[in-house]
Amino acid sequence: MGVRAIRLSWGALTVSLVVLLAVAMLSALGVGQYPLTLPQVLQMLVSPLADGPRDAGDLPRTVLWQIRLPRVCASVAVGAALAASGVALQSVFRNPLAAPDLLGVSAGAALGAVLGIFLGWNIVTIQAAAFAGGLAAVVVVHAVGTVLPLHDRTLSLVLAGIAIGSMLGALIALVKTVADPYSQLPAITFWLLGSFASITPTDLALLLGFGVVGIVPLALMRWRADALALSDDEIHAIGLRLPVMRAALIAGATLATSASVAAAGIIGWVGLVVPHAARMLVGASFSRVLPVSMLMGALLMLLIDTLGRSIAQSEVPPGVLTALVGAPVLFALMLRRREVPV
Amino acid sequence: MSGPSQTRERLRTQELLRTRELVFGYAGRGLTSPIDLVLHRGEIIVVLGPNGSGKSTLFRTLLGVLPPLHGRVEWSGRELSGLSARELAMQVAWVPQQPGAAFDFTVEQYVMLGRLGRLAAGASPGSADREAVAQVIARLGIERFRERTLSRMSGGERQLAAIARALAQQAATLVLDEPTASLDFGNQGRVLDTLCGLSGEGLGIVYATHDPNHALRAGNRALVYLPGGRTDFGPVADMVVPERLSSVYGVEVEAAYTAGGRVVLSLAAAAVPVR
Repeated sequence: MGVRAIRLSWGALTVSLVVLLAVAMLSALGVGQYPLTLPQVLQMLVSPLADGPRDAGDLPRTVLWQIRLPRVCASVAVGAALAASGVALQSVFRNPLAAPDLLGVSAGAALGAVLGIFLGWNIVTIQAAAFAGGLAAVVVVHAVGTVLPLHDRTLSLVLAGIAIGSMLGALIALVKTVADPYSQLPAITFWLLGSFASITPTDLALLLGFGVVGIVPLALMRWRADALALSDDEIHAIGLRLPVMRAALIAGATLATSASVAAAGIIGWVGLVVPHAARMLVGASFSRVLPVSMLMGALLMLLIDTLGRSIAQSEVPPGVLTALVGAPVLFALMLRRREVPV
Repeated sequence: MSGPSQTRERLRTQELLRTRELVFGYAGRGLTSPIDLVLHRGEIIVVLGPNGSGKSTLFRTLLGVLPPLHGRVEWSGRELSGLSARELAMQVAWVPQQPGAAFDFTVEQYVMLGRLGRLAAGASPGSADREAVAQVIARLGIERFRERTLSRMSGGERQLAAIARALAQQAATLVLDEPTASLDFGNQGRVLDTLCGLSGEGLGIVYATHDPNHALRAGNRALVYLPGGRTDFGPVADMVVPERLSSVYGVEVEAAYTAGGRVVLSLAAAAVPVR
């Protein structure tokens, strides 16, 4: 028994998570400085145009459609995207404790966005810079990792990721020291901690679009991704082409992570802890871990953002809460973890 | 009209693997003199050689991971370099020395990995795949571990699961790198019996071992690595004999006979008596 005892039926777990997420989203739509009751929320959701066209004076409607709904959907999408990225990267790196940060994706996307804020670009350009930064970081990490003359390709990639990641961190710090301490620095600092406070419907559309494009290759490879848990030689002997699989998963995960970073800044720990927890619930199979992680990540991020905007007078950035929750949860999970010899 | 015995005979002569003047190694440096070996259906080739003599390197070359430095490798008459990864996977399946996985799969999920090379991109395993998995799990007698995860299995059980995974690939040849290493006596016997049984069903098998007695128990021909990069390939009865083994391993090897007349190979009595 032990670990087996908590290994639920996969189908039952997925359905309960979907229901739970739907209930949580509806509840979150009502929570805030301007509270809405559940009937109010439901009525406005099912009949968006029943009371005639929206006007600026209709406060509940504006709060719901312009502020709450984009924010709730964005937190759900970011949670799902970060968790999916974590699942994919952990498979590629054969390490259940790997994270999207490992490839320098988050740091690269953050540098792109920080540069955009520093140069006073508009929001769409800042988002594009974040995408470009994340993708550039992963390409450089991959190139450096391939050049390193180590027999263990995974180790060389990880080493390259750590080195490039800390260089990117240094560059972000450099931009912060030269940024205007009154107008730009607070924006950069606040953004680096992550926030859903300023999500607009446009941000949400970009996030959903790129997030979905990033997750499609992960979903398509949900079966063969399991083979990545074997050694390079074994994968080859099974008849799979490792470089293609690795590239597709890394590209998809990078896109999903960059979309999240561009929309809400760096939010750590979700991509690390959630897939790990999902694996403990449904076992190791990628085809199960991916959807369950996305649902759990969405739920976690929604809870954290809703908590962050309602527990204090000023908002608590989600990155702060994910770290405070994530670190102890990770320790707890690791204590239960069983090692598999490779 | 060909009867069943003739069919069997024809199967036996079907050539699965042939190397022609094969030289392998890293960075242009060959590890042995050219090797010419041939494997037919239902045959077992045992590879014997000291640590670090290049048994694993030979396997990596046969599997197309390393390009041959000289000569060629042919699977069922087709040159290795002309086979796609998928075609090669139909020819040969591989079991590494210490099979395992980075994630804690159940035996069923782990065996299914052997089917993935056959799936089209984006496809899910179908009923044929699940049937094949159930079949090999039953064939190796590990049904009771079907739902058990790898971390909860012993080394011997995991070795059987790895063989099942390789069999699920439905390749004609099985290559195993020291399948009995780090197994207890009972599990060594079970793995060797499994290999004999599989060869009896027409599979070609190549495996490496450090115990020459394994070659006597489960082997038709042997490839032995001699000092100075020479190799020798021939029937087990000619290759796995005390003089040759003494030269392979650089220690004195003796043959003893059981009451039933079976040969047992052993290291000669210790030069320094055990106190």
